[in-house]
Amino acid sequence: MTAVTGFYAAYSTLILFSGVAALLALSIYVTLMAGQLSLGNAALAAIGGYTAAILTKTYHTALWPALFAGAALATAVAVLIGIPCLRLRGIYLAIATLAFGEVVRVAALNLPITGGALGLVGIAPLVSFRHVYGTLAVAAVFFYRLERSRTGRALAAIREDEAAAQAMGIRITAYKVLAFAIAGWLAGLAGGLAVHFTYLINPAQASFGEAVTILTYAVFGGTGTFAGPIFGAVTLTVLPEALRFLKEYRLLLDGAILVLVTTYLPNGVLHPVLGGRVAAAARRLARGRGSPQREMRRA
Amino acid sequence: MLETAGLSRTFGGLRAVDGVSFAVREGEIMGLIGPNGAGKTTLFNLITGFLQPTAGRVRFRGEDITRWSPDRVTARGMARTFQNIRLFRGMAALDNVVVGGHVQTGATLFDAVLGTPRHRREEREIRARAVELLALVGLADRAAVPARSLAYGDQRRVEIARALATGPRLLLLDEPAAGMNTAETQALMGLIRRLRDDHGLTVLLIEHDMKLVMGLCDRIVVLNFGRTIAEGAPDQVRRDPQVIEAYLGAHTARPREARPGTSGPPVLAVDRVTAGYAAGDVLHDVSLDVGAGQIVTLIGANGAGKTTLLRTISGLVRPRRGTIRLRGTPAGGMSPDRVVGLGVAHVPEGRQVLARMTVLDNLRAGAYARRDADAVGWRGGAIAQDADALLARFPELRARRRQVAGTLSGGEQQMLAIARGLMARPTLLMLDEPSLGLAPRIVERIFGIVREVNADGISILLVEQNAQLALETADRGYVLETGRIVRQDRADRLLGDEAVRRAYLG
Repeated sequence: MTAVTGFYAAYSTLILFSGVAALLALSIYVTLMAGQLSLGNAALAAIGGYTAAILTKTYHTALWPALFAGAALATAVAVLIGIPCLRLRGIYLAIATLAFGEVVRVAALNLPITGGALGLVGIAPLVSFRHVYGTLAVAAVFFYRLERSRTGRALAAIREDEAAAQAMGIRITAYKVLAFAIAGWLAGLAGGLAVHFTYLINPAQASFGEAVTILTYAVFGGTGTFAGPIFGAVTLTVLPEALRFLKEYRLLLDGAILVLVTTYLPNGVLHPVLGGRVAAAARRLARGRGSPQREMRRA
Repeated sequence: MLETAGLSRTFGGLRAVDGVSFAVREGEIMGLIGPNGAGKTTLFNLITGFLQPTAGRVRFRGEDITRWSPDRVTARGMARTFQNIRLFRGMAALDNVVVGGHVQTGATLFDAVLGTPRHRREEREIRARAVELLALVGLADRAAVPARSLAYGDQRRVEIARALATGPRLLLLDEPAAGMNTAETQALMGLIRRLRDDHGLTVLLIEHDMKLVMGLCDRIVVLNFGRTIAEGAPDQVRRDPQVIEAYLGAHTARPREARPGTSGPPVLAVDRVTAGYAAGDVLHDVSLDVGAGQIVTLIGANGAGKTTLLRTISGLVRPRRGTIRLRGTPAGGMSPDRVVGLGVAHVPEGRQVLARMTVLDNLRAGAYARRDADAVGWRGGAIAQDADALLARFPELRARRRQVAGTLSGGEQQMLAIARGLMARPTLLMLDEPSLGLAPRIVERIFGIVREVNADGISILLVEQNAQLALETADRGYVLETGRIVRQDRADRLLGDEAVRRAYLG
């Protein structure tokens, strides 16, 4: 056994979790691109997860059709939820989408087909590295292109100023619904992938806590470019494991890191502005003098 | 090209735009002017679909576009800029203009993801077009600068370039010269002329800079209280008595007899103050005194810097140079709460009452900074007594003292804002545009209150668009033009002064 395969054997679950977390972070990122704070992603992932699990477990469907079916259902639900919710803004949209998450959780808790509080167990182990990271790679290429496209610009314009975006002829409702649909697809896919290497799913996966965790991936990594949420998701998934030696103080440090990042790096760890500042600071150092006035003006 | 018929819009009881009918002909530059609150921006919003009219129609290029959404209106060939610049602040100047190319392109998300030739060709074209447009407005060298870091005048020009990128036939500009200096305004006039002459655009613009409006426009429409009061060539409009009255105010009160000058140190002494915002200085070397018991008025056109001066005195803007003394105490750069503690009450433009609180709670909030010994007591201290006394003076408010302030009429809100200012027991009351958007009868009442308050010994600094009325009320007046005091004298001598008329109408 080589070192690489040995490492993978020891940490495979963690590695797969990181990939799924990255997909979930991208799913919240796409709505944030349009300036919409939607917190329904955990519930959408649960919809995708339950659907795919039921299909492979009960109906012995092949993996990809099951995953796509789950993603499609999550997309449909996201659009249905999205259209009325788009009348809401900011914190009200966040509350409404959180409430949607609760509805999904309670439904999963009470429906016979989802297995109640215990959820579904014994799901076939169908997903491995290539499924998760293949999907993530496709998603990354998609976002790379999206950010450099007419559609990406329209989303960014909506985020910056909706009225001005409309004055540019951008149909803001259509683009917001599109963002919700992409978010639903990604979350549904992530949920379907996850259940096939954790082998179980239960209503807790649609909970408030999960929704907030996904948000922290994006906030931590930064929402200036798609690489930020991916970085945040991987870091925040791996970090708790790396900090296991801290035992009961681990959560404390987790929290402290988040507080520090949001306070001192409000744009997240990976952000073009920060990159620019680091470069500017380096240039100043190279010239051997600071320029406080310039900093003032920028602020 | 553009035609409105009986266009109206009411907000609650206020008729912001009231049956406006006018037409813009192809290839002309048309000006839309009128005093503050006349309904000009509301009219723009009705035409561009940002607001739905309560009555009336809009026709554009032969099509009825009433109740169209703003994006459809833009796609049909009408582009606009915004009064309070609405750039995509985080994006570079060039990217702002590229976004403007949205309706000129049609590549879908799939085109982009698959990198089809259509996507690549369109990207190339709109970038090239955006570079051209930035060069046209003279900002080629600022392309990579984030919009928020640009100087104010540059931001206005990026907005114009962005509007042009949508490929309009008709361009609506909302105060394009606001915040620009004289040279920039000159360049802007040249640009607008070129857009018409070389690019075949029709232009409708709102502007307060009368030099620009009179020098540039082929025809002008004048709005007051939501109605058109005049329409025609610049020279004709400038001489129209109704227009002059709308801008300078009519003779309503009898001029007060001059009062003897006051002795002792002035309540307020502003000495050679220069101040402004991040984008640049608004005030230059402004000096102004308010003597004890006097009413002093500060008049001048929109954007002259009147509000900024009040904000500087209040401590909301820090002076860059110069001193401000309140009854001898240096107060320049002091925090707003400490300025209030020195006896200054500021009644801001647009009233800014605490809309969700009751009238009574608004009054109580006005006394927040008071530290007098008997201010509060078991059965109502001095604050409660003052509130009672003010409610007795303002019977309109007394009847509504438990009503939420946001539901009051404009005039009632203005009274409440003044009463709230008085709750702090000020020695100096600063009023910013108290007559803004109010009907003449209400204005009369408000100015009566101002005189009453002054009779109680409170000095008053009054900023007012209605120069006629302000000068009839005040002891002394200062005329502010583009951040500089250009004239100061006894108020009765300024009445009918040519400099005053010029400051407003160019």
